[in-house]
Amino acid sequence: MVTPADLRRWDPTALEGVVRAIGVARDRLLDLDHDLRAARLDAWQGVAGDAARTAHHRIESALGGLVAATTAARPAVAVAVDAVVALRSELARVDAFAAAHGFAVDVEGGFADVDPDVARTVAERTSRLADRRSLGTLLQSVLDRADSVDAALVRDLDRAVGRRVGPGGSDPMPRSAAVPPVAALPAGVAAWWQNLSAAEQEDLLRTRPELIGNLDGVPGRVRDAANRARLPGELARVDSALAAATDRLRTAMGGGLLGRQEPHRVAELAAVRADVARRHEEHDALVAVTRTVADPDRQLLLLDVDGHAAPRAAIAVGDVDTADHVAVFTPGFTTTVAGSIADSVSDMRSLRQNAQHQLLLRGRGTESVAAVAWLGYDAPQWDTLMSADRSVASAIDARAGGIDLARFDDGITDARPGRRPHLTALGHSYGSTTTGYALQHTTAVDDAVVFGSPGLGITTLAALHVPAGHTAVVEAAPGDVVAGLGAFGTVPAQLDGIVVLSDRGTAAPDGAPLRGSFGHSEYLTPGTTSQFDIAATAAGLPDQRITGQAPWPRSFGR
Amino acid sequence: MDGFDVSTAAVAAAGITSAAVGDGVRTSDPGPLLLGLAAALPGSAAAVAGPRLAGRLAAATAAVADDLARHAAGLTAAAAGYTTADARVAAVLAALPTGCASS
Repeated sequence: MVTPADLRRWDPTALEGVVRAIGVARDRLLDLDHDLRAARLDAWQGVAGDAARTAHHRIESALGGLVAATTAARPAVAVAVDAVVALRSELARVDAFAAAHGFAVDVEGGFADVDPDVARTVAERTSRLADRRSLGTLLQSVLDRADSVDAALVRDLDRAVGRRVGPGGSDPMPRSAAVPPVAALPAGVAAWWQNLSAAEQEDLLRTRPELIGNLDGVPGRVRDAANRARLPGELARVDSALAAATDRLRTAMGGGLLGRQEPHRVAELAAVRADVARRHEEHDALVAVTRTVADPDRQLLLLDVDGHAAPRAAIAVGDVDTADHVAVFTPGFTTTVAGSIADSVSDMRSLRQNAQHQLLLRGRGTESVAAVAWLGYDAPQWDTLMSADRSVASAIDARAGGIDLARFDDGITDARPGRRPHLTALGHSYGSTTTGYALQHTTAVDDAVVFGSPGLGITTLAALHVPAGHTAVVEAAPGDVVAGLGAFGTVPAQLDGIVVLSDRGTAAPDGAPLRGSFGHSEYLTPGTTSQFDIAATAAGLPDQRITGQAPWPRSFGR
Repeated sequence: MDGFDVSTAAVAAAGITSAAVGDGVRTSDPGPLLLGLAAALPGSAAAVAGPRLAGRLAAATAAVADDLARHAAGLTAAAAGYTTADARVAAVLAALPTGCASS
């Protein structure tokens, strides 16, 4: 088990040195192998000639094995270099997150409370306990990945001897190349993918799409192709499970009316009913996704119907691999894939159109925009309202979702080395809280806009890894009671340094009329000032935005 | 090379090449390079697996180098033997009465 102290001493620079040295040795051995194969003994006839050739071939084979083992060791260590860089970066983020909350990571993976007096009230102590648990989850996630990286390297090194090299010394990846490094951070996944040959990539896409469709760090076009290929099979599988669950329900119902003396049957019936309902939800989610990606210019970047409390999906409008500007939108309370993916993607289509239009007006019409609707976390629902863990009043889903959202954002940029996009994070309602937690983990985001937000889980913008002056909040629309709640940290509009965007009726810089929005759910409606402001941010045109005002002096209430 | 289906020059050249390759392999042992994993990844299982692979590669390298040295020696000896035998056959042929040598 790797400890934080171990991880801090892991040295990617030294590992790179090992990779380079092995490469030099491997090239030299390849040259020697070539020389030996060129020394022909074909003209030597007779018993002595046969014996000499047999010996020659045996030694050639042994030397080839040595070349193959060296060849296999090099990429195995190279993959570890990328993973160690990413792991150390992630550990640094945990350190920063801990420090911002008055904790410090100790050498064994625990947390020292360096500021215990900061929590005076019961509520503050409860909040610190939640922070500590969240930190523990984060750190354990990093250490688990470190263990996985370590185990994968050991496996590849142990397999290196006994391998065979291809004709001409072709450079095969270690056997694990065909198995995606699911435990790696997106940067490691991206490095792994880029190191595969075109044939290996194509083979993986064709034979194991379920392994790469949801893998952050793999290019969007590949994830899209993989997830689309999975859709028919997933639907058939879910429908089969639905039919079986329905049969079980019929059987369970066949015993007649249930009495109080049969509590075991009551429980069984409830479980079967829940299973049927879940399968219906999965079916509906797949149908909604299938219909939504049928429109042109869509990318299905996430499809996971049964791995979590609710089905998950993410669909982009545009190409996240090539767009100059990418926006990732996270919706909130009561959203589901089955019921919300179509509307969320429609919102992103409109937002993208607005952003492209604004770029065109500014003489930047060659720049492209992609917008993603990310329903990749377990958004609280009405039926979880009274749940201790899954209530909309709890930050637990937002914290967990924030980690996944941060990985998703990292994956978009890491899959594009050397040409990262301008990335904007958008969050509505509880989705803004999820976005707030994500921004405490990822450094991939250039701009952030939240709207109808009950809080970002912070009391200072310094906790977010967003450049100063690039976090914005849309002022609360009339009738939006959520936006001023401050249920999760400080009310966003009162955070020092946050940019407040207007939501009032006015005119756009080109004179086009804009109207104010009303209530909690109109911020992305076309024609509103809020949608204009959000689109301008996504397009990298902050100067075009119409600013608003914080509801009261920012020092108030803190 | 009448009397033998072999090119002594080719055998001798293969011997020289084998000897050179053997020397090259011996000085190109990739094993020690993997010992660097222990220093780069302290506390990891790879810090143990790296040296383990290093030992296996070192043994394989030494075996290939030793085999090549023996192989080179054999080829060199064979080439020399064929050359000597060829000279003796040539001398015998030269001593034969005219007419026998071409029969």
